Amino acid sequence: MRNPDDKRQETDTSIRARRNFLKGLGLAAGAGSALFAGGAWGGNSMSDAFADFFQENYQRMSAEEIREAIERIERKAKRRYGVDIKCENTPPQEDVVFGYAINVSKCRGYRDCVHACVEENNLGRDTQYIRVIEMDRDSTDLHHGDHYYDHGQVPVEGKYYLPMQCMQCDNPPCVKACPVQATWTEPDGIVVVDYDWCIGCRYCMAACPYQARHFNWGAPDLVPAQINPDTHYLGNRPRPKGVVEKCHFCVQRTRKGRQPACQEACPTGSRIFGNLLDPNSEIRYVLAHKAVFRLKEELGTEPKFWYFRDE
Amino acid sequence: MDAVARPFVLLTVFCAWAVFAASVGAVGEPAGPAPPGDSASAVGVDDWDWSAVTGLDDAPVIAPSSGTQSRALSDYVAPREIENAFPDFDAQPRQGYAVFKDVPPFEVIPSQRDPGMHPCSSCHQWVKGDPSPRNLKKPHDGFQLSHGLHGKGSFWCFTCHDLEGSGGLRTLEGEKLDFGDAYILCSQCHSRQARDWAYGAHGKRVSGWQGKRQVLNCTACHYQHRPRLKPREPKAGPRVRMGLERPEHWVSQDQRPGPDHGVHSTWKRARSDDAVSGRDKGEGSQQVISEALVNDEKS
Repeated sequence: MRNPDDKRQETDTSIRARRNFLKGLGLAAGAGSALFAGGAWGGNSMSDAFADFFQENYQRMSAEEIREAIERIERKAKRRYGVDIKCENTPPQEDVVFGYAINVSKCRGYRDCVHACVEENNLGRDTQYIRVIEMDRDSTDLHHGDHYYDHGQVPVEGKYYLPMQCMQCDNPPCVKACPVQATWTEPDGIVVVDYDWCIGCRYCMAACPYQARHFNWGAPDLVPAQINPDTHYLGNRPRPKGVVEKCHFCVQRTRKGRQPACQEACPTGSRIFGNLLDPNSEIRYVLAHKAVFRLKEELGTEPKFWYFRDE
Repeated sequence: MDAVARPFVLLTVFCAWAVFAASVGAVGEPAGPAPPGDSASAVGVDDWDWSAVTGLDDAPVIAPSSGTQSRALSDYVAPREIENAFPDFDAQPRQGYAVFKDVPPFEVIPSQRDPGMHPCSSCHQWVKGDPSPRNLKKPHDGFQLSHGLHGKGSFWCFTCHDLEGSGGLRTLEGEKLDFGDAYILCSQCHSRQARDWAYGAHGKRVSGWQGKRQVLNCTACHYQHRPRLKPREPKAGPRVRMGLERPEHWVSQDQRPGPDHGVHSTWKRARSDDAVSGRDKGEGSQQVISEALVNDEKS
């Protein structure tokens, strides 16, 4: 678990001093060249571009540095999209580990969750975190499932629908694969990405057995009017080009006690989200009383994402 | 009511009640062992995994000494739990209703649907009603009752509705219910769903995973006269990416050719060339694909 105080003490003060000096230099230069702050620096002001360049990994940033980074994110969104977003840094709640369960007998393949997710999480319109797989009945062979189905009406006879997204593994291979520790497991069990620290090597995508991670080949093509202004640093803030992103259980919502957007959008009630540490939660009832299964369990990734069906 | 229809209504109601009562074991002696050979008629309760219900382990369970066991739900229900489950109700035990032990307290969001043509008395205080089962005529012909298997004629309006008063709901035992309490009515037969619903494995929790537990009523998702959800068109799928194209069997599997998902034209051509030249030529087909990749990067 992350302990910012320890990390801070470990940090070499000389490195910090140098960084602060350079940051200051950037600020001074930015102040001098405020006139030119329009098109240059990737639509950024020079001081912000400098500060972005010296921005630390989220796990090593002090509270003050995170606050500054968040202000820069908000300024950048304003410049790029003309939208006032509110980026937050809601911490994980005590004694909460999130889990998800999906009732595959109820899922009817409408893809309402997919599109609610796209809108909630400011995804580029060619990216979808949730992949609803149309499977042959009596088969659990994911390789013969089809997630491009576009029948006139669903569900189709002889098929069932299996939504897949990031499983928030307890033993995540993607985290181990990341060479720069830009992705890690938060105390509430959510595997998050620091989009500013990610170098875009896509090792994590290769490591993930669930194809849950997506790469931004370009800057996400967001429509300013459709941007969701309630964002989180580790969640749905507008992402830059060339970084990996994935489902984060709507960290901007769930850390405040709300349901994830996919659960809210599901018209059949097949999605059950909750706190695994609360014995009275719905998800715990499902885990205790239904025949649940997880995907590719033999890999030992320990997904916190279960599937079950009605008796 | 004419003399022919009255026995039919009574028979229908009695049969429905009898089937339901048998399924929850509420008839006759509540705890006695079922007579031998009775297991076939009690289908639906015998294969019910009672041990799956939370808290039943420490409840006064009647030991299944021999064969099938007929148990009344009310054995497991103390007024306290009923209060928890149905906060708006008086704490009278409701025999056979889906009230389960240690249900986390919850609130039911009333359905916002307009029931329409209510109360009945707004017309029927002047016009005499005919409660006999028949093909409905105006102005009642808007209702298409298709309630599962029962839609084939074994259900009639007054299986669930109350003709008198506000025209609300009425249980099989004659208790009057408000429309907001439809879940009690549904749980008379759909006890498994009611159990899952009460514990949160069926239905939908709204307004957050944390805090006050608020769940939707049955009728929020299921139209009461035709509860089965209708098939509908799915929303758009993901854009097809190079290397993640549709599986081979996709076209033959789907009769209706769908809209173009953004498959690169060069890729499509490569695939069709591939198909013409024969896919198993090894290097040749590899070459076609790599050419397609090059073309794609150029364009």
